[in-house]
Order: sequence, then structure tokens, then C-alpha cells
Amino acid sequence: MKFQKIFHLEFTYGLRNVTTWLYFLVQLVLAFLWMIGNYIHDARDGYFMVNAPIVIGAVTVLCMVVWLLIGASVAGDAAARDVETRMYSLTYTAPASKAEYLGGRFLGALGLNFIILLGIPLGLLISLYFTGIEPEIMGPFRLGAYSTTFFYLILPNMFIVTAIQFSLSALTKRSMASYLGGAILFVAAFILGQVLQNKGIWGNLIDPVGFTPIQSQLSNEWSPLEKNTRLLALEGTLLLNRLLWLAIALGMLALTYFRFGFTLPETGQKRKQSIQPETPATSLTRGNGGLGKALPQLKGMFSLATHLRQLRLLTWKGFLQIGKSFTGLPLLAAIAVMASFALEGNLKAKGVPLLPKTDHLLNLLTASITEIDFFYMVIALLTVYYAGELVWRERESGLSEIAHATPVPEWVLFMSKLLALGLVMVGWLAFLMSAGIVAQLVRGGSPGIRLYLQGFFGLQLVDCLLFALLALFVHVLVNQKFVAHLVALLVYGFILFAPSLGVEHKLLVYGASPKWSYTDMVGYGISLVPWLWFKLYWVAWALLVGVAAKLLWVRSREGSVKSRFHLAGRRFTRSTASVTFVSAGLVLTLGSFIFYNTNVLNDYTSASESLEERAEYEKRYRQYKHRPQPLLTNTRLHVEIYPEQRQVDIRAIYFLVNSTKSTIDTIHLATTPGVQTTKVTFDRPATKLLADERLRHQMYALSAPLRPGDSLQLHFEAHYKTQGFTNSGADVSVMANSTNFRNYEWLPSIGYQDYRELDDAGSRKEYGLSPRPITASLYDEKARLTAPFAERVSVDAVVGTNGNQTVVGPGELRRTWTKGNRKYFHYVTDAPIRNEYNFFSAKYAVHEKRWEDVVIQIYYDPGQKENLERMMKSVQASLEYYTHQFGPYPHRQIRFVSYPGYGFGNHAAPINITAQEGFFILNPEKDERGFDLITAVVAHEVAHQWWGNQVDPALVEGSGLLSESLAWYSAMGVLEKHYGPAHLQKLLSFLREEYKVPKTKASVPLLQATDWYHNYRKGPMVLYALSRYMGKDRVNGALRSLLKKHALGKPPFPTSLDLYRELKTAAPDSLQPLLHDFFEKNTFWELKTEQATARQVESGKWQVTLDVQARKFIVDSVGVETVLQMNDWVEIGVLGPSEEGQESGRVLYQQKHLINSAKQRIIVEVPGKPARTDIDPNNLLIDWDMKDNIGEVKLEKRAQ
Amino acid sequence: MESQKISLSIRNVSKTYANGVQALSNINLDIPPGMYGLLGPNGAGKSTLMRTLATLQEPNEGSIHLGDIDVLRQKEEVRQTLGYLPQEFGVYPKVSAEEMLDYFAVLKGITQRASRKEVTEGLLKQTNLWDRRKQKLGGFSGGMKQRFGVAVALLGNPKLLIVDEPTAGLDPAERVRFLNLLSEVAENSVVLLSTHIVEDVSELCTNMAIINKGQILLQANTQQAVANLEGKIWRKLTDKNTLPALEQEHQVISAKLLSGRTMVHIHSGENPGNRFELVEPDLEDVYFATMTGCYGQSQKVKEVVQL
Repeated sequence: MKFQKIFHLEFTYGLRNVTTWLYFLVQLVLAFLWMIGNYIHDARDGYFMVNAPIVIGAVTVLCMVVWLLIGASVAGDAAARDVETRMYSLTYTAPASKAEYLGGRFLGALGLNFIILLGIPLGLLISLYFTGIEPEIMGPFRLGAYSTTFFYLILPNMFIVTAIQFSLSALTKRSMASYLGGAILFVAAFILGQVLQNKGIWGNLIDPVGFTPIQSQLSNEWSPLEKNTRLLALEGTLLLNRLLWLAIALGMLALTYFRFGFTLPETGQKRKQSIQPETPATSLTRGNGGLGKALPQLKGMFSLATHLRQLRLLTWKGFLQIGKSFTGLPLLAAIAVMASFALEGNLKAKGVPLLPKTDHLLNLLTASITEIDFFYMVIALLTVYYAGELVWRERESGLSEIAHATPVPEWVLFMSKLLALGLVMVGWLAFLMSAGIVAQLVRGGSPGIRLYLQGFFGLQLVDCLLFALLALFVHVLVNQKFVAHLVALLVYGFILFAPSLGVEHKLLVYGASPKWSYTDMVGYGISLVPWLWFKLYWVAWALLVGVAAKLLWVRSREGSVKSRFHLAGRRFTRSTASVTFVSAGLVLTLGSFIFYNTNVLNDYTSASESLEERAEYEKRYRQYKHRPQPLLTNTRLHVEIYPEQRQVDIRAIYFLVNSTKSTIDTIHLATTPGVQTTKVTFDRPATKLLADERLRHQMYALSAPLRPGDSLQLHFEAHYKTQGFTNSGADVSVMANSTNFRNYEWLPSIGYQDYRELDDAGSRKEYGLSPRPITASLYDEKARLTAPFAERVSVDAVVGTNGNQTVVGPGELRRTWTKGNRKYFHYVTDAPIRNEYNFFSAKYAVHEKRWEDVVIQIYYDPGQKENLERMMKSVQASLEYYTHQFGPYPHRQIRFVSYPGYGFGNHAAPINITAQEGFFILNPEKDERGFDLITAVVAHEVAHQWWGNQVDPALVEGSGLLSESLAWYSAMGVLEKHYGPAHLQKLLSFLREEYKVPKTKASVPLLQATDWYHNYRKGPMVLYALSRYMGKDRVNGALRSLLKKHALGKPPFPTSLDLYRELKTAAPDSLQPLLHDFFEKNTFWELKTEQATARQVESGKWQVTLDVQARKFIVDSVGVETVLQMNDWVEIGVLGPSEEGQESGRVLYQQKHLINSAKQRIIVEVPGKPARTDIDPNNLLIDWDMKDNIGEVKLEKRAQ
Repeated sequence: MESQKISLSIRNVSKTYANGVQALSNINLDIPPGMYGLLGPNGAGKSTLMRTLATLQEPNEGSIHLGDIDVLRQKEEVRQTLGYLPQEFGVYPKVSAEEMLDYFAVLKGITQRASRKEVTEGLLKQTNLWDRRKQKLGGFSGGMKQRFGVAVALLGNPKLLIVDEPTAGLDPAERVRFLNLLSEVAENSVVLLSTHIVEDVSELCTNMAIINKGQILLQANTQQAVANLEGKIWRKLTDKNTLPALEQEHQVISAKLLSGRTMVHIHSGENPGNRFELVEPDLEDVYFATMTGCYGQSQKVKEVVQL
């Protein structure tokens, strides 16, 4: 009865509470938005049905992760409301047992959370069945999808989370403790779970809401077939997870039951101090006689100085309040230490340590307000929490009645909170800076204190303060602590995800600005100016927000909106008005100035507008796709680069040849965005038929048509001038110390441009375009006629720049000269190149060597010379190896050119290969794997001069096999020949580490593959396996033959089928089945050593008996598995015991054996004591579990 | 200038809360310098009036002036000369009394370190907290906390001191000490003391008002009010069960238990007979007579107070 009453009161109390319904609504809306905003697009792109069981599960766990953070007040309130409302003196003393009291309260909270979480399925159903989703992406309605989610996820999660939050609050008697519980569970689910997700089952177990397993199943673990059909089942790690967390939850409840007492936590402390003072007898005398002293007659003085002193005091007290608490500076220091540890992973690129440079560290340790960065997101959440504590301090302690009546103006009160929060932020940045400096010193770097101070306290602090102000304002405005937390979270969510919500202009997202950057080569470059304008604009807004906060600051008991606005009107004094006026004026002028820059001086195109333009381009001009057009064969350029003015002027002549069989009367010209293309003329009369400025398409009718074989000159000028800045910052093409642009970015192209078409199925449908595959089919013969920038051109370019800079362009540098303060460079290609090339201009240093008659040059930033020799040696080795194995290098120069940025930025255009600064600050010496990534990557990039720039694959499925796979395969040969087999092994293990196997085996065959795993890992590995099966010479011979047929770059362009044909020709009959397995089917082998025994047959001779298991099967692209009969030659290896300091022992035996049954016994004789056996020791076959291939040899007693 | 005395005038002040409760209804008061008692039962609207005077609440209508200062519009000026001791308040538990008082001294505009030291020392001594100045406020008893509140209210020598139910939590000795302090302040300032304890007013306040259900029932000089009842209050010791009959016949203003029997006071212009004897009226009789509508400006409120 009592229990029922307690439960009933708790439950109905919650139902009357508006926050309960707010949480319910949040869950409903979140579920709806996640479905409509995210999963529906994936479904349209064909990844799964939008109502697939796993999608329903995924949305549910996503909502639950949010619920962990916001819904904690329900459990906390139920457990600790009595203490916080001081009702405890009545309830604790009432004759209800602990079980009744706690049980009723807990069940009440459970009931409320149940209602809140019902929002998720409701939101799902609304999004799926009331928004008119097209039936093509909907599977059949399955009750099981909802019920499994409900019973395996929602119900257990509800119990687990409520129990833990309730227990923490009940034990500490503080409702905030439930938020702590929520935060811990959030960390476990969202952070630990994600971090550990690849570490076996730990990631799945540690996650209390099942977020990690569901998300990884959705993203890649399940095949498409499973995603659409498989229901969640209580088995495996999910079952274990549920049981584990239920046990934890029950344990917490039991602990709460035993430890909870109907007492107050502070009572013990209070007793000690509550000795009543003796009242001196003198004071009992009425009248003034006994008092001795008169009252002090000092009066307060009120002037600006007084208010500033008050501000100082209040700021300091506020800072101490936040800073001294455990969640203040100590926590921030701990986070900074964590951030410092996290640097370990970030100061590596592809596993190679980077030189610890200040600017790079600064880049890693800072993040703008709009950036999704783990540590700064934690700081933002803490800022919101701190803001709440600061705003509510007086009122929560009950001091407000006195404090609010003191003569302190509202602006002092608000400013003091802001400054206090600002000081806390300064503390955080100081910790972070120290952590960065320590991390740098530990790694042997030398900290640039000046740069650190600028970055942290000049740039980062602005973002922190802007957000702090916003958080305070929300708390002042909302005037309900927990609702304000929620509102602030929503506001922050908006700031983070505004672009995805369609709000892209940074004038509309609080605090947003283009990002600043700093690199060795260009310093802040041109990133600081737009940053500054946007921040000034937001500071002006911040002033307005501050004024609003001052006006709405609550210091009376009047909470109603009406009276607060009434009061605000009273507070709107003359000085407030002038501040408002000035800042509103600033907002307007700064905003207009920015708008002028982003939208008037520059084209502002939102993402959706750009999609629309692409769609329209296709609709209007695709009709001209197959119209005969002349071919570009020769380009003559005069380029003037003005780095300081950030301007480039180009005069150009295109030599066009009609290489088709029909006459051409119309020329289609596709111009480029961001430059002005002017003075388009032909060497014969022509009329402009059309100039579509928006879609950038022009048409010219030739008065005299161009007959087959005839040629034509096209003259034009292109002008580039940076005008102010854009919404995404300033265009970095031309900067004071770095100019870098590609021909096709600025120069017009001939004909219809395929690459402008929309690719993904969802957007194509949205814009009413006919469906087509993202990548053209391998068997689409028409598609083989195009490849990006495939035409072979000769380029003759004269480029002028500042006198102190160097220009790098395509081809040979014929001549340089100086004219006034400008320097000119004349570059001419010595053989036609693919129509893709860059021009660079910067203060470069050059490192130069030769290989035979080829000049090798590395253009680098003078400070970054650590890796030059290493790169040079690899280029030489590569040229040597590729020339001999595949065919000649067609040019007499090859270059690596540096440009600003922290990535690798490797791109192999003909002759000139780019590399960002990040590539130059790699520190392979410190690589624990002993692997020289620089040498390998350089070999890979040089290989692209053959595979990519000579053999230029058609833009169809499987094209990566001809470029990336061949480039890595070629690099393997360089490493093996010039650096030794050990280096090859390290490259192989690097590739295995860097390009992880997908979670699902479902895939198209290698010939059609387009993903990273196939292009960068399976492709090279298969080619390597073939070289082991049929000999390197045969494989390289096939490649040589492929190169010979396609080096000239004439359509139809080669595809993976051409490579496959060459390999088939080169392979003996016995290996044809293996080729088929590798290329035409997605084949897997599962090889396993069951047991291995050995006995000594005579001195120095051992007989080894292996029992091996083998399974071979193919998996199609949806995930259907078909078992095949095993009948393959597989290497069997036997190794001796490993010597000290060696990883593996001596190879005693390695031979191919025909494995043709699921279980097979193999007996071999070896000349030494065996320790291990290995089936397929070089992992030549596609076997994702390589560990079980190895067997430890059991030695049998000598048979005597 | 220091000795210039200002008075507080309240005109037509009304306040209705959002939930419809009318807390103040057309209040008019003139409060001269000195101690002024505001007497009324719980929930009469005293605290609402006090908070309104202390700038923490807005009336729906009416005006309030402290000398030349418009209290409702010039809040900042009022606060500069205001001392306010609310009925209920909390403190930061981990801060010492001295530190907290020093903090409030700055908030009240006393920013010079030396003056602050002087003021806080004086007030801590006056409120008998000097020995406890280093102790954390979290360990203070109710009375000590109340005295600390007094010290804060007295900071900056306020011209207007508003004390809301100050003696509720004090032991008799502390109460005496506190009232002494108030009367000293009252020599130069307006001191408004709200209470439901009649003795607080009768002992100290020259002028007083009685408020109930948001209305001023009586505004008078304390002594005058008592004198006005001279010859009109009669008493009789009787049994509890005769009370209903007496209420039928007479204007009973109070009935309280005395050694197991009931002492009844009635209001009557002439000798009611029936073995009633005339008593010398005191402020309590004024209060009860006012509350029952026998006395004062307002319309009759039929209410028998059982104590």
C-alpha cells in the first residue's frame, strides 16, 4: 500500500512535470530526424532498406546515447528530490521501509523513463509511415524488427541506466550525481566502446547501451543481405553484454539498498560544530549602554571604480568556485593530460612518427567552436555545466535574497560570471599548452613559445570565450537550470551540425568562421584575415548577447516572461542603449562587409545549389556528350603570377585537331569557376551561340566547319584575382609564398564534362536524373572511351613570378631570365603528357641528382630537409627498376614539389609529383616497425609515372587495379631488389596493417572492385601472389605487354580486363583456375593446421606430419556464400626453432603441395629439428585468419 | 547631511501573483524615521511588501518613495542605502563569516581595504560573532546565521533597513541583543520590522501597522493605539465549553488557555456584566481587536483567533 502510494506519487509527479514530456519529445524528434536526415539517404544510395531491422536498432541506440546525457534528471530527481527540496525531514521520518521508499521511487523513475523512451519507436514509425517514403526503399513491415529492438535494447537499457543513475543519486543524495552516472555511461558507450571496437569483444561488452555492436554491424560487419533481413538476436556478445550490465545494475541497486540510510550526509559534520555560543550577560541589558562600541558609520561609495572593484572580486570568487571544485581545474588538467597522451596517435602519419613541430602540435591541440573535436566537445559540455553553476550559485545556496539586494549593477554581475568562466578557460588552455610543450620536449622537439601563446591565447581563447558567453546567456534566458542545460546542448548541436542541417553560411552560425592554419612554409598565410573579420562580427554579436543577458538578468523573484521584459525595459538605460546601438551597428557593418566578400566579390554557392547546378548541367548539356569534338594536342601558355596581389593572368593558345571521322561545326567549351575566361577567339571566324555563365558552358559555331584531320587554334585569356575571402576562407591557390594551381581548375576544357554529373543515387533521384551506377560498369564499352584528362598534350609555358620565387611547371626548364623585379621560367614538355599539370611558385630550395639522363629534383621548403636523401635514393632505384622491368620513362626529368599542409598530399601528375609539408616532416628513423614508409611511398608515386600516366585506365569499375594496385606491386619489386627481401616483408605487413579487411566478406570480384581494400591491399597482394606462383618475370612481362599496348593514351582506354587478359596469356594452364579465383570471383580460402608432429628418422633428418584443414568458398556482393571444391597448390613451410633475437626460425622446407580435400595429411622430410609448420606461409591466398595457419610441432619419441 | 532624515512613503501598492493570489491590495503607508512595526499573521503579505521595498519584487501598481528616490525605478540608488535581512536565506557553507562579510562589504561599495576591515570588525563584534569569525558558515547554528545576516544588513550604514521576521529563530538573549542593535540604527534611519510577534513591536516601535490578507487594517502610533482601547477590553476566566455561548453574546477577540481554563477577552464599549472585568489593554489586544474587526480602519473581518 505504502509502496503503491510512493510509486503513484512519484509517477504522477513526473507526468505533471514539463521536462518529462520535453525529454519524450526530444527522443521522438531525434528518432525522426536521424531517420529522415541520415538513414534515408543511405537507403536511397542502396545500402539497405530504410526500415531494415538493423536501421531501427541503430536509430534506437543513437537516441539512447543522447538520452544518457539529458534524461538523467528523472532518476536523479526520484532518488534525491527529498533532500534537495528539504522535504526529507518529513519523508525520511515517515514510517515507510527502505524497500518501500526506494522501490517506489525507483519504479516511478523507471515508469517515467519508459514513457520518455516510447518516443523512439513512435518517432521511427512516424518517420517511416507518415512522410511518404518511396516504396522502393521500404522492406515489408516486420513486427519482429520493433519487438526485438524493444525487448533487447530499449527495455534492458532503460533498466540498466535508470538503476545506475538512481543508485548514484540515492547514495550521494544529490540529483546531479545521476548526470555523472549518465556521463560515465556515455563515455563507456560512445567513447570507450568506439575506441575498443576493434579490440575483440571488449568494445561490445563495455558499452552499456549496445551502441558499439549495432553501429559496427550496420556500418560494415554485416553483408547487405544480413542488414536487410537479420533480426537482432540475444546471442553472442549482445547476450553477454546484456547479462553483464544487468548484473552491474542489480548490484548497484543492492548496494543502494544496503547503504542507503534515512539520514543526511552532512549530519555527522554538523554535530561537531553545533556548540551553541554563550551569550554574554552584557548584551541582555536593554539600551545602548552595554554595547560599548557604536555601530560603524561607514557608507559605501559608488563610482565606476567601485564597480570595477566589485567586478574584480566577483570574478575571482566565481573563478575559485568553479576552479577549486573537483570538476573544475583538476578535471581540466586531467583532460589536458589525456589530450597529451592522445597526441601519441596524432603525431603519427600512417604509423610513422612525425617530427614534433610547434605549428603541427598547435594545429592538433586547437579546434574551432564549430569543429567536431573530441576534447573541445568535452570542454564545450563542461562550459555549459560551469555556466549553470555560476548563474545559479547564489540562488542555490539561498544567498540570493541578500546578494540580489546589494548595490551591484547587473552588468557587473553578468560580466563577473563571464570573466570567471573566461579565467577557467585560460586555465584549460594553459594546461593544454603545457601538455603540448611537454609532449614536444619528450619527443625531442623545441617548443616555439611565441607561436603557442598566439595560438592558444590569441586565437583559441576567442572561440572559448564566445561559447562561454553563449552558454551563460542561455542560462540567464531560460532561467531553469536543467532545461537550460538541454537548450544549451541543442544550441551547441546546431553549431556543430549546422551545415548538415542546411545552414552553411558562417554569418548564420554563432561563432563560426573559416579556420586559421599555420604551416612552416606560409605561416598563417591568408587564413588569418577572414578568421579575424568573422570573429569581429561575432564579437559584435556577443556584445548584443551580453546586453540582452544584462537586461534579462534575474535578481528578483519575478520569473514570468512578462515581468522580466517589463524589468528589462526599466534597465534599458542610456548607456545600455548606446552599447546596443554601437554593437548593432557593428554587427550590421561587419556583417555587410563579410557578406560583400563572401557573396558579392565571390560566388557563394551552397551545397544544395551546387548539386542543383550539376544536375542542371547534365540535363541541359548531356545531349552534346557524344558530339564529335576536336582533340587538344598542344597548349601554349603565358602565365603571370603576382603572389602578393594574389593574381594570375594567363594568355593561352590551344591547338585542336579533328581526329574524328566527321566534320565539326560547333565547339563546346566548358569554362571553370573562380576565373574569368575572356577573349575567346579562333583562328577562323566563329560566332558565339551560347554563353551559359551559371553552368559554365559556351558554344561557338565555326563559319567554316573543321574537316577530319584539320586543326584549329583557340585563343583565350584567363584571369584569376582573389577578391577578399569566401565563406570557407580565402582561396589558397595563390598566396604570398605559395602558388599552386592545376590546369583544369582554371583553364577551359573542350566538350561535355562527365565529371560534373551527380553520382550518388539519392541525389540523382532527388533532382530527377535517370539512375546510373556511381562508377560505370566494367562491361560498359562506351564508358571505355573516356578517362580523366586522357588527351596527350605538349605544353609550352612561360611563367613569370616574383624575383625571389621559383616556378615549377610541366616538362623541361629551357630558360630562366629576369625582367625588372620579375623572374621568368620557360617550361616545355619533351614528350606529350596526360592533360594534367600544376604550376607552383614559392621560395623553394632544390635538391638535385640524376639517374642516367633523367634529372631528379626535389623542391622543398628550406627548413624541411630531413628526408631528401631518402627520397632521392628511392626515385633513383625506382627509375632503374621500372625502366628495366616495364619500359622506358618518357621524360628527362622527374620532380617532387612541396606545398603547404600537414597531409601527405601525394599526387603523381606527369613528371611533377606533389607532396605536402607533412610528408617532409615524417620521421621514419623513429618508426618502431623499422619500416621506411618514405622510400615505399616514393617508389609507389614514381610507379604512377607508368601506371596512371602512361597506362591511363578508363573510368570504369576496377580502374584502381590498373593504377594503385600496379603502383604498389611495382614498389614491392623496387624494395625487394634494391633494399632487400626484409623490406618487402615490411611493406607487405604495412599494407595489411594500413588497409584493414572489411568486416563483411560480401563484395564484387577484384576485376570490378572500387574500394580501398581491393585497390590498395588485395590487388597488390594478388599480383604479388601471382609473381610467386608463376614467377616475377612472367607477371612483369604481362605488364610490359600491357604498357606497350596502351602507353600512348588513345581510346578505348584500358580496363582491368586488359590486365587480366595479359596475365592469362602469361600464365601456364595449371594456374588459369587460380587466376579465375583471384580476379573473376570473390574467393576466400580458410587454411588451418590442425596438428603437426615430427619424429627423427636419422641423425639430422626429421619427418614432419601435418594435418591440415582447407575450405574454399566464394561470397557474392550481397553476401551469399557458395562452397567450392578445394583443388589448389598451396605452399607448405616448416621452420626450425627461432634463435635468440630472431622472430622466426630457419626455413627448413618450403614447397607447394596440392591440397584437394577438406582434410589432408602431408608428410615431409626436413634436414633439421622442426618447431613450427605453416600452411601458405607467405599468405598468397586470400585467407583473412592467418594465425591458425601456423602449427606448433609436437616431437614424437624416436622410433627405435 | 548624514543626519538628514528621510521617510518612506508607499502609495496604492497592489500585487497579484500569477496564480491569482492577491498578496497586496492598495497599500498606503507613511513610514517616518525610526522603528516601524509591521504586524500580521503568516501569509498576510508582509514578506511580499518587504521584498518589494527591497527591490526584489515588482508591484502591479502603485509607487514607493524613499525620500526623493523612486524605489521602483531607481533600484540601484535604493540598494546603495538599503539593508535587508530576509526571512529566509542561505550562505556559502565553505566560507568563513569574516570572509563573507568582507565580500558583502565590497558589494555594498566599501572597497578600501582599511575601511572594510574596520567595518567588518565592528559589525562582527556588534553581532557577537567576533570569536567565530574564522568559522565556516556551514557550521553556524540558526541564531548565528541570523546574526550574520544582521551584520550584512547593517553594512554601509543603511538609510533604509528592512528586517523580515528577524526574531523568529533567535533565543531570548539574542533577541534582546538584536532589538538593541535595531533601535540604535533607528536613530538615523527608517527601520521597518515585520513580525508576527506582538512583543517585538510593543517593546520598540513608535509606529506600527497591522496587515492581513494584503490589506492594512491599522496604521497608528503604537502607544496611541493601545490608549484608544482603554476601557473597552474585558476579560473573564471561563470553561472551554462556554465559549460558543459567549461568542454569540459578545465580541470575543481572543481566548487562551490559562491553567486549564480559558481566558476570554472581549471588546465592548460598555460593561458587559456577566462577571467580566475591565483590563488594562495591551498591544496584543490591539492586534486581536484589529484582526477581529473591532478596531481599525478596515471593514469587519469575522475571525476568532485561537491561541
